[in-house]
Amino acid sequence: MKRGLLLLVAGMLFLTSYAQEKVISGKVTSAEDGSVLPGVNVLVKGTTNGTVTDENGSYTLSVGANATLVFTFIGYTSQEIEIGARSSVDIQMAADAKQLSEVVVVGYGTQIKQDLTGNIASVSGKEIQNQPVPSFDQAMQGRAAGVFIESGNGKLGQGIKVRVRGAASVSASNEPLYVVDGIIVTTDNLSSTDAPTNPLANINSNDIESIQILKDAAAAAIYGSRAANGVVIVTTKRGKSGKTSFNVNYMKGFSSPTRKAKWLDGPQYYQAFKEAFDNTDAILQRDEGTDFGDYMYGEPGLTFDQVLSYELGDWNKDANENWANDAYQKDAGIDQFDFSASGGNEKTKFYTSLQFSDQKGILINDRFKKLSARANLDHKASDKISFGLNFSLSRSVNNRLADDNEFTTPMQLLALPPIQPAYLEDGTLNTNTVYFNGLIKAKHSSFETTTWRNISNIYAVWQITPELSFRSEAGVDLLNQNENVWNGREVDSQTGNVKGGGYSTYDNVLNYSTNNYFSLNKVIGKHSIEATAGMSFQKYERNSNTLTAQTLPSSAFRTLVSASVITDGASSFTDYAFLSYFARANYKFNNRYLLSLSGRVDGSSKFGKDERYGFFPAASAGWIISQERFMEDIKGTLSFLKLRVSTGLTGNAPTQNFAALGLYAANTYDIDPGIAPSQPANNNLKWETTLQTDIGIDFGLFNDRITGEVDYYTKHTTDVLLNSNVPGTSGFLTRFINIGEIENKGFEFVINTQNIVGTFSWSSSLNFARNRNKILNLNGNVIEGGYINRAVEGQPIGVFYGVEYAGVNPDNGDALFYVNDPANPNRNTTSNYNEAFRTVLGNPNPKFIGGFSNTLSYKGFDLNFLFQFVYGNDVYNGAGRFQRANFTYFDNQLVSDWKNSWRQPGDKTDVPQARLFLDNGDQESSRFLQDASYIRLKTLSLGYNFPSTITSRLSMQSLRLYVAAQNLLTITGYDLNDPEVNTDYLAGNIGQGNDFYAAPQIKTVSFGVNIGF
Amino acid sequence: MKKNNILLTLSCIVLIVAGCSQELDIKPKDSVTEDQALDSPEAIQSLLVGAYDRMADDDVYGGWIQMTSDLLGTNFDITWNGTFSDPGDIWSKAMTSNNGQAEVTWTETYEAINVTNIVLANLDVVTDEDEKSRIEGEAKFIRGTMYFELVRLFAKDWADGDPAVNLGVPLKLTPTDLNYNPAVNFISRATVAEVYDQVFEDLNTAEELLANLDGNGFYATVWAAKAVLARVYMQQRDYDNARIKANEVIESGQFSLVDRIDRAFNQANNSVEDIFAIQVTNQDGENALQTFYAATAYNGRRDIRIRPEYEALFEEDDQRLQYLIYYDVSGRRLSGKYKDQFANISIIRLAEMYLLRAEANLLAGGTQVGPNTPGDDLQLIRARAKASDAPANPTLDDILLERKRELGFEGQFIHDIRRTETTIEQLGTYAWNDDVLVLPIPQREVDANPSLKGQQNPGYGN
Repeated sequence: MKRGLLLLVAGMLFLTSYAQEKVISGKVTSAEDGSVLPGVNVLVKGTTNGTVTDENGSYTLSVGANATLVFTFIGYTSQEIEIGARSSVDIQMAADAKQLSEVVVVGYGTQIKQDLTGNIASVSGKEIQNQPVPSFDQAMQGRAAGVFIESGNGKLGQGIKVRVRGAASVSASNEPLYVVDGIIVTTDNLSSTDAPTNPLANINSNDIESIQILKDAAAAAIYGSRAANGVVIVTTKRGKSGKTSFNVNYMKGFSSPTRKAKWLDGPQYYQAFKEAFDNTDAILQRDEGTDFGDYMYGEPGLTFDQVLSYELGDWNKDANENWANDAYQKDAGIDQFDFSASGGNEKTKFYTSLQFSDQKGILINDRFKKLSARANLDHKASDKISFGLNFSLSRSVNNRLADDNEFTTPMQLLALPPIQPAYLEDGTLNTNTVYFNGLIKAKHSSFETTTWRNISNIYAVWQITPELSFRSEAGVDLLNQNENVWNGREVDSQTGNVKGGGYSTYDNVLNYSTNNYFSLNKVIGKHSIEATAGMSFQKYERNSNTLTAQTLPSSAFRTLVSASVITDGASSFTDYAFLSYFARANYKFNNRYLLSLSGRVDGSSKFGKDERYGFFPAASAGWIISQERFMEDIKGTLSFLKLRVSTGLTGNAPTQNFAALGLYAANTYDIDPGIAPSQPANNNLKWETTLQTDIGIDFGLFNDRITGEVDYYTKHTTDVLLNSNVPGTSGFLTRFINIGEIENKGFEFVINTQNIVGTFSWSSSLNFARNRNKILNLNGNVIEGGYINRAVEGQPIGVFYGVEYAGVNPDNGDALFYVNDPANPNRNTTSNYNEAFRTVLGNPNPKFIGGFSNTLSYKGFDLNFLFQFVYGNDVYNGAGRFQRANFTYFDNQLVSDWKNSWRQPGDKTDVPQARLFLDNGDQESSRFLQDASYIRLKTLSLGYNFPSTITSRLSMQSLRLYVAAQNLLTITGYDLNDPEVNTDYLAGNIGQGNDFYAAPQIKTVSFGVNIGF
Repeated sequence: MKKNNILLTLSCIVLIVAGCSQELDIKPKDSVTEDQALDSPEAIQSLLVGAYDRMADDDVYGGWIQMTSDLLGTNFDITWNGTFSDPGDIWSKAMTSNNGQAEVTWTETYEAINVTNIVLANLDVVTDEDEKSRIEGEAKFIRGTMYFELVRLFAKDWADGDPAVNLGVPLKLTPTDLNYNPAVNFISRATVAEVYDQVFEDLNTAEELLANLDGNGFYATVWAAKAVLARVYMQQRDYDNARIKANEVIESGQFSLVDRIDRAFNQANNSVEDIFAIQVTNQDGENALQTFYAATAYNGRRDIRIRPEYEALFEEDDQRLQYLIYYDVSGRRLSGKYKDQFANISIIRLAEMYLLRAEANLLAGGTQVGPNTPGDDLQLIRARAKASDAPANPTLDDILLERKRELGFEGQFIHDIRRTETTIEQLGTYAWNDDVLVLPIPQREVDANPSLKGQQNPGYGN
């Protein structure tokens, strides 16, 4: 196999005829007013050989004899010019709305969008810059069709869920592959807690020139065994020749929670629980002939106040603590400073940047600070050799919080009774509350995650002939993460420490890779061929150390060097490697018939020894119908029309590095070393295979003032990686096997319009996508996750499965449940929870998603806004058992539930009678499941660019003032906090759509100034 | 020239490829493959230690086997006030086949059993005959004890109907091949009698093989094997054999009662009274009993609280009241047996053997086994607690009440309810053999193992 590919590569070389090199120069001007256009990209078609026009609009480039030059400039119609015998080519570029001519970065190369036969969504760097979110993936939300992005809560720097055309895996990752400047980067969650962190947060969004999301097989298959979830290609900014331009940006933002639920205040709480106590007492007197105190405690005659004292600790009828609000910090917001310089000459170009940002989250102690620097350098040593480097270094410090399921996380404060004050009269924190007072933790602990990241690569391009080039690149992604946790002795009851303690983890991830490939570009008459072939190797190594210790001299000593008892320490190492060969050929005939073939052979240490190499081919074809003669007549209306079809295989490799091996691991007992088997073997373990077929139409109307794309796709995944259940009697719980089939089907629709052009301009872009996920076969396995999520045959992944709530019996206030006996289907109800059978209740996957963005400009003003929407998904409130539990226990409850409780026979309501200590509808059921559709004004920004008359007087190139808002408005029927939610400690492929004391999303209004000089 | 350059490039690629393809053969460093894991006598000893570690898991003897028994068998002794619903359902007799606690107790216990099966299948690696028989004895002690716990939690009591017909638990006695074969792992439930037979076979072998061993640290000894056997006979109502085994342990002279009752608990090392205990240190092990019984001040969750009726069982001066029942800052009544999170967990202590001998002597009648009358044995326990003197001729109720006082919250409640055929009246009325007092076969097992079809315990569906 290997040898065959090399022969193929060699064969391609001999196809090439060696042409003469020459230097071509020229000038680019605007067709409208004849002014020179600096910064126009000039590229020899099908190569990476190119330049940018200087301040006089001039360019010089050495090219082959039959080269075609491609001129591209944002806002102008791209042009392709065959040089022929000329040595000078001057062109005029027309300002145009055309969006089909942009250059799109694809795997191991670039392509003109018009010639694409695959489906690629593009997000420009401009769209995501200066957003008050730590990571660029979060900033992409709503901007790319078919890409579902969800941030599980409003904590900073946490894991973000990204699903490109649905989820295709049960036990492996469903996240896309991320490639930054050609290098596959580390996206592993290195968090020491169950809540994931997001390593992408260390990448400066403002350094990003463009993001391409490869969605179908034609686009993604060249990334082989890791492309099934889509590939996100990030390209950073590069210098352009010309005057050095400096840019300074400062932004200050103010943050608050998007939405807050209403909880009982002190007087309401006392009254509500007194009612619940009386109700239970009456029921016990009636049914058991005994009173509350006797039945519950063996102490007859207990009053409600006595029960409160017994259960709550320090409480006070007059206290009126707003615990829910105590979770938020008052000075939430962001400060961000950016500096960049770029420029260069014909031979050497550079882009450098520096960013400092300091974001304080809405929750107490939540903070994310980042310092990042970048230098991108390109140098042309000769007509044949060019090389360059991308260097980036960043450091982030994330002050993190406890997971959503811990008493100490700020959002769990809302569970505390308002009749318990947070502070005692002497100003000290109340330590005797029914649940731990999380403010104690906020004051006496710290959790700091410091990440250093260096993503850098060097490349060299050898232009062997004008038509053939060889590119070699080597990259390193070095990620060092240090987590330091300190807990004071005040938090001992929550940490299990004796007199304080903490832990420290250190992770070092070295991820290095090299790509080496040939690119060929050949035009023979009406035939044009672009081809790429090469190899890639990637190695990943992770070294980890952890130390846990306790018993500190006092709260002044917070590092573990001062701890007297070391309770745990470990070092560990894991690694994997991928060796790959890839090739792609694009053929175009007569500018209208497109054909593309690509393939990758991926070998990985992660696969079983009997399945070491996999092959991932794809084929696609396009027909630019608008180029046909018979379309001439309607070209004024239908300016562009292309039909494209693609099909191919992509894979998804296991997340675990050694899932294929049968292993023994250490199991210490006391101080003696022990071992025990840790996992069974599977020599046949391999990747999941997704067969994806896409059929799409690209169109342009009215000289491309309206452009759009419509796609329909099916993704059929087989050999699904599954942690398949085995009988526990074997001593194992699961074994990792390839079994099962999952299907994703859907359509995507994108329409871009130039509504108004001229001095006042308005353009819009709407994207809309629907994906339907279905598990076709899991060999009978049922894999559970979340609270009541499961992966089961015949249903979408993560469906909610449980007892169906049937409301309240109006006669007695009992909660009712549908029996749903599968053997006897009817709508009978029961008040006995254990008589009810579980059934499918809902779906956490949205029915459709999308975004609607608008850009308006008038003179110096510009206004941008994006509405983002998610429709038809359900969210289960795992905390419903506590916070909407009809006063079963002392957690604070929603005001609306109290108001709507059943009180007397005949009451028609959905909220059962309040009964202290008695189950009445507090059990897990669809009562806590609700639709979480929403539409959100995701971003809104208004800017003013001062005219050059003013800026020149200030010796500036440009001056811009802006105000921007994030999550300003959310429209939803969801009745808790924010509908965009997935509790951090359970988030996964199956654990989806769960709320559990999750922080609402962050609303930020920021003000900024941007100066160029 | 050009051709040479291309060839040079190509040969570079070939070199890279050749170098890289070997990089795909990566062996883990944090775990090892089976051939490396089991190749020496030391490795088999380490595997045996691994079996103890699995047995010490918090869902096994690290606490949940005991708490499951006590939550299920409380009869005005304790209440569950925690937020976890699985233990809450055990306590309120509302378990379903999806009870998560029952599930992990099942799976973790079988994990320990599998490790003992691997030890027993690889004994030939151990060349030293003494070592070999010690390792075999200990492995069989663990396996026999684990099967005994499983059969008395997940199956009908020995005396509830016909044990030769009633379903026990699946008997897995061979190691699971790492090259997993699904079919051989579909094992159906053996009968209660078959499981008891296996328990006897393992424990009798352990007793025999460990007999000549002089001390074994905190690991299993012949005395531990005899003490567990005494429990097994007791559960079978075989009082004669039960008293013989208990007597052998008592009269061995290896153990003695601690001077003050609280010194039998919260100990970093085994007390002189411990016949077998789970080791917990500040570096290894989990004491789940402490987690759920202890007050917040001791880093516990104080989810299990003592009822006033239990407190009322004691005389005022009884040190078991004074030292082992305390109130937290809000007046919650808690057990003082589990305050220190790093303390060992007593599984069997000498006091139980005295009470067991007393009860068995009383019930078996005939010739008394051992030097003490039931009254003498009872008096030893009461005197140590500084309680009033025991009656010279105690009734069965006297002894059972003393068991409750002495051994409360140590995992005896449901087994005592069943073997003494007592009706539970807390939170409803439940006969000793009520279906709800038997744990469900975990639904995940029924789903993953077709051989369990139709073998669910009564009252939990299919």
